[in-house]
Amino acid sequence: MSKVSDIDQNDPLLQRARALNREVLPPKDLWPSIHNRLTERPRSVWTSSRLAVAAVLLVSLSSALTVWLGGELREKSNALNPSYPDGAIKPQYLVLGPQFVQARTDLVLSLEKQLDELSPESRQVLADNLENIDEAIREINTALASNPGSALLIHLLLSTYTDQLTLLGTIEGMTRRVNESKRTQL
Amino acid sequence: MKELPNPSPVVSRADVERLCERAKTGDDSAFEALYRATVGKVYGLCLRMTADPSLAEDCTQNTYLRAWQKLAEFRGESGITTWLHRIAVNEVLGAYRREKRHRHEEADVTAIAERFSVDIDLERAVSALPQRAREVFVLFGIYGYGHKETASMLEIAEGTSKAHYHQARRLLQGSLGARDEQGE
Repeated sequence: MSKVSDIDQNDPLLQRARALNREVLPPKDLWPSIHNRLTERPRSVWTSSRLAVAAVLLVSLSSALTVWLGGELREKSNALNPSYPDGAIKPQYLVLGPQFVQARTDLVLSLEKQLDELSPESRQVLADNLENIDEAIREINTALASNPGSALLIHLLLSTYTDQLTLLGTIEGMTRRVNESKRTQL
Repeated sequence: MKELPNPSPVVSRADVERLCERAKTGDDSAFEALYRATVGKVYGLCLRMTADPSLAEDCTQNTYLRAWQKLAEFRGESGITTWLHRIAVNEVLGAYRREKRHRHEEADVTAIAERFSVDIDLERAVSALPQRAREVFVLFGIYGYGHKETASMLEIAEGTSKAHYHQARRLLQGSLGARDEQGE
């Protein structure tokens, strides 16, 4: 604050200015907006880092599965691409990337070749499981279409795609081993 | 003379220190209490410096956001109000630089100040000052900072601060004298 030497005690204008009320409240409460902005930042950082980790995991997983399958990349089949409602966020718009889509396509193509050799019961179990996951993906995409910024929905979608890929990989591995075993016995 | 309202809750220095320590740990309720205790002084400074209610609100919000980020650096030597005022002045100067222009809404400023000030003529005259003269007058004349501190906050030389103050004083005497003569 001012030193005594700075102030002309006899200056009526300065005395008048110093007598003004120094506090003026804003016409509206600014705290809700400040609080929102305080809490926004960590959440967005958290979301970004989680999404980045999820993306890395998915890319790693898809790459590993692609290598594990050992097959050459095949052309995409329309029948393998799930359908999405109008306006829904398609997987290619997320951080999943083309590697994920290719790995899933490879798995399903590989699986299709071996499905005929599975028992009807096993095929039904597999179809039910995949249908459940597809249904979940469709529902999340529909919700995302109306709320595209939802970190929770994006996280759920990534988790569901991961589940789908894991299930496909597990079943493909099992059926391949079953079929190889059958061929060996023959 | 009409009684001045007390817009902010009175918080002792010890309470402020306790609130700061809690806020430093991420306690946003403690930070809200700090906000409630000080917002009148921060907004009042921003409003008088900018003479623009909307810009003053933006600067006030940004001041508290910056304060939250820099709370760990606050050691308490200067007092919370002085610390917040320094941040607020930086925000005002930054807003000018970003917008590269200065808006002027004298009527709105006085309408708001009317609720908390007994000297509307002076408030109106201050809001009509040229930007730098107004900033110096607000910091030195109204908020009581010395020229050295005022100059440091505004990133100008101490002599420049004094020159702007005298310019402001001369203009204010002129405008207030003219109003007195007109019998306002």
